[in-house]
Amino acid sequence: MRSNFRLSTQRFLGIALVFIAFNLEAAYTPEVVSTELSQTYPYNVTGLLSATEAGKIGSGAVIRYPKVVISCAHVVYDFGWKNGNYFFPAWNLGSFPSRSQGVLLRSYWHFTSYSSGTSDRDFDRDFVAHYAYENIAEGRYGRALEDGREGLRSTLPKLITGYPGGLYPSGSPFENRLHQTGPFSLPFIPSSYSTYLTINEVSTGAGNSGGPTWVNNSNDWAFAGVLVAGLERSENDGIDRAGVRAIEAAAWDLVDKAYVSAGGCSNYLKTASATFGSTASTGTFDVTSTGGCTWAAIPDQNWIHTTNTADGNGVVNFFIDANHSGTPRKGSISVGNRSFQITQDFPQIAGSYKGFFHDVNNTKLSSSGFLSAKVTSSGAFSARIQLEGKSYALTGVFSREGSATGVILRKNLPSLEVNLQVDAFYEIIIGDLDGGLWSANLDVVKDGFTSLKRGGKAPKYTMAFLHNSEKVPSGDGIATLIVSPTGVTQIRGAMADGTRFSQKSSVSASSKWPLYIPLYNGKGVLFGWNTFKQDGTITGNLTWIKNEGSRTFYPDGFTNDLQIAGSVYAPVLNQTWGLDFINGLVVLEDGNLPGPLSNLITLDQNSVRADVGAIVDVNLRYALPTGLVKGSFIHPANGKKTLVTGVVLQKQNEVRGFFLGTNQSGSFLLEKKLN
Amino acid sequence: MKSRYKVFIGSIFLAAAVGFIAIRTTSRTRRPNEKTLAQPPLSQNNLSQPSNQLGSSASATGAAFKNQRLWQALAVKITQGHPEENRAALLSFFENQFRSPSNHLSANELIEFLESGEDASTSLGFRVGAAHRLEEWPTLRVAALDWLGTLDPAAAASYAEKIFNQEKSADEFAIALRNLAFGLPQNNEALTQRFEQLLAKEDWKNVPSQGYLEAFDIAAYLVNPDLVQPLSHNISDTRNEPLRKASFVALDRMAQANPKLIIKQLLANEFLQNSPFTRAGLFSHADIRDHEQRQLVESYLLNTKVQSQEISSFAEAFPNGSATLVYGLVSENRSPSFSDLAQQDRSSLKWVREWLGDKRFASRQPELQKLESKLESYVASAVRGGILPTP
Repeated sequence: MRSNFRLSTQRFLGIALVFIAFNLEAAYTPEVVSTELSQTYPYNVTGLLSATEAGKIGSGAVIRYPKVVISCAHVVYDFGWKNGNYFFPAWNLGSFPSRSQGVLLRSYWHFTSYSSGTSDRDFDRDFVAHYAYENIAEGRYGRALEDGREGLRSTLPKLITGYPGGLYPSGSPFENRLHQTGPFSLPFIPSSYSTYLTINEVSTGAGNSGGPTWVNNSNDWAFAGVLVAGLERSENDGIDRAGVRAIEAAAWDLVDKAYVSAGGCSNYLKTASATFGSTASTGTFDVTSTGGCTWAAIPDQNWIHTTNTADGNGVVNFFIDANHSGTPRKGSISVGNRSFQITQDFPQIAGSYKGFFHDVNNTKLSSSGFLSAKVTSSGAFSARIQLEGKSYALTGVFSREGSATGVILRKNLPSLEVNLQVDAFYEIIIGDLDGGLWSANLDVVKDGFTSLKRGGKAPKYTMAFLHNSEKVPSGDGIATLIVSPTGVTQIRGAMADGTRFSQKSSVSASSKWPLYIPLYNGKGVLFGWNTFKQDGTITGNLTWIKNEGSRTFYPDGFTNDLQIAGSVYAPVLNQTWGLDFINGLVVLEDGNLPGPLSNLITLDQNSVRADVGAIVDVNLRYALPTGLVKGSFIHPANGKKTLVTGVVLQKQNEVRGFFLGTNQSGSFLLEKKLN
Repeated sequence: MKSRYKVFIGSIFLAAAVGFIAIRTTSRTRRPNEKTLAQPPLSQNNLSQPSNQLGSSASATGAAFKNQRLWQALAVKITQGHPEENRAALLSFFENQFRSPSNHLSANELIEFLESGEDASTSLGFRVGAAHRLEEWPTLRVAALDWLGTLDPAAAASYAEKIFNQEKSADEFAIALRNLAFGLPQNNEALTQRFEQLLAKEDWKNVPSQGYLEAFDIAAYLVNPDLVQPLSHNISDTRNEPLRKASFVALDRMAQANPKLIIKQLLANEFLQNSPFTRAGLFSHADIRDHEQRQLVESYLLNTKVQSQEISSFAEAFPNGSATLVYGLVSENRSPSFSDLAQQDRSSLKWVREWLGDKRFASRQPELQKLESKLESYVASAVRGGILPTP
């Protein structure tokens, strides 16, 4: 006799009159599982349960332990003990198996309560755990959720496996075949008593009682509960419904204790899950073993690595690779009969990006520009390109592979073809721009600066743009910089030729700062990558371009390479300006000077006192809040008072800047006097 | 009147939303399965303002008044929500009140609430969980008694006497039995007496509440042979299925714990003659490696009043390695070890073969042969599983 599924349904009807019948056919009904599929998980741990002495047939599954079959009580227990049942894992033939083809189940633990005779507790307590003296499905067993109730109530995919032979006439070739119902994602609904849950539009059939209900998490099926009841419209029940007794922590507690007291071993994990960001990470979890289990930590995904094996208590150390995919991912490490769940976030594409492009083989103003873009989580982007003092808009959507192309029409200029490729993991956009007469490579990074926060206050920096001594102009441009806690930069300064500038931008998560400052009304530019270092310095290389123009200084234009010397700046009200010397040397060079000039000086609280040297009337004043140094001297070429501008670089322990001669700029250096 | 229904002038809207609330009196006896009568709802406004309509503690001030308001607020909450929400509200309330460092309410204040006679239905069942604690409480008073047992076992055992003497609620009686068992662990005589009092309460027995049935765990805890008779009587009462099942689970767990004691009683007093298959199942717990138990089983087999169908049922289950596992109010679960059971199988096979060669058991040959065959398969399986050595 197939299990008393129908009897259960009748009792079920008695307490479920409030439910509404639908006139639709069941969305999910049992289907025969192919022979090939039945040899795979979780079908190969599902089996036909023959309660020989009770004269019933049902379903079950090997779960959590290699010697334990979980099923429902009403298949095997009917107000009295009937031991000696047989289990036939993954049985999938037309004929009914003989005992020799199965595994003897020695006995079982019947989970019940004293009040199980009251009508609303029948299904709540309707499960048993059989145990065998020997391994059942060649040692295989199903992974189980710690809280099956939660899994069943989720919208994760679900599957019921088992042997609903009652659907067929006796002797049918399908009567003893393994079936599956689902997968379906509909959530189960709890009844008034919380471990019994039902779902409409899912119908199994007599014989499927005791069959496992699986929930797919971590890309794999995990046991969540036992099918204990059902309604079938085809049997005039008026509605299709499946009822499952969720196996949750309290039930597992009973199973575990019984198994261990019977001499089996079991592992316990103090923590059962962890969540990581998208980067490569390491982690650990503790294993407590009862009954002398020997266990090995086995990952189910190739991005999880561990090699731990132990006998008894131990710690599992694991390492996970970085997640370069566009989706979060889940995996687990099985430790004997338990599993540790790992969830890893995916890189988020959404954000603000900034960077620039230039022709690396022939850097020119016409091919050197800046791109800023905002990208949504769906991949839509809106970008703005700055080039030769003009601004162009570009919108589009990155493909699934992260690529996008666009064409920008320019007045009186060749169109601009743009190819972009976003990489969410590295948080960059790379690509190229084709301007007709030139081609430039693009490097753009995502905002997300966090590493330089200083207790919520915006740190200040001072910077000098160190000139290439073999090229003009001479002198070092200077700047002051404020970086907000959210990574917004505010730079103000002057190039060595006296051109002033200011700009707002932002810093990337990797502390990269794309500096792009249009100069000379679009006739020049300063651009390059800078990096904020942990030691408080800023380093980088810049390109400074000036096209031909009518200005006094360098009207023929130039393209120059500069080095960044940046330092975090902490105002210090003392005689040394935050430097480690009092006695220094001022050196002026170039700038139409006949030769280098120098002076020994002594630092005062906010000025210098000229000691001995060749610089006439040298004086310098120090601005404590900003670190700027300003002063003057008498230029020997024209006898005029000439302004000097510099900035204190505390990390470099010097002051650098520039002055303007008659038509050339010169360099200004204040450094420690060497003994 | 010491206490009375509390009437609160709440908003009509809230009254419609709440539907009903069960603020009961101490002078009213509640039948086990009786539905709580609809009562005027407590309103949020009432709870936020002092009132002099607070029943037995109407004149209370200060901390006592604060406590009354706490209970009333809880009562409103648990009569408004879904059972799951009610359970969460109860858990949150008790954990906050009794587990927090500030320890707002003491055991005395719990007793004060119980003394007030106030109560509220929770729409939950009487469900026992791990560590002998309840997972669900049908009423606020049952919850208070459950927490009292955790907070102050001695005080809970003392207060249990009041519950026993009042006999007002089977559910309260059940949790009071647990409190007595843990609060006065050496006093099994009193526990037996109070359990027998529960068994004798006809109105509770006829329509048993979940708490009443769960109280049968006391029998499994005591394993008192004197309880075999009333439990056997209940099992024979086919008109009361919940009572039969609770009695069977209790008697079966007693037989698992001490088979000798139980089957001795069954045999001596011919209990369960009208429930032969149940009796067979209880006998199947015998371990015939023990001389006395073997003699008892042999007497059972040789008893001509025992029909062959019963012996067949015995043979199907013997030696019984199965077990009922419950979350009991007081008892612990037991389960045989694989190795001990396998040794029992092998030893039983030896004795069964002896019986088969003994003419006294000639009439039981068919059942014993079947049993022999089954035991052979058990032993073979244990050998394959490495639990028994290869013969």
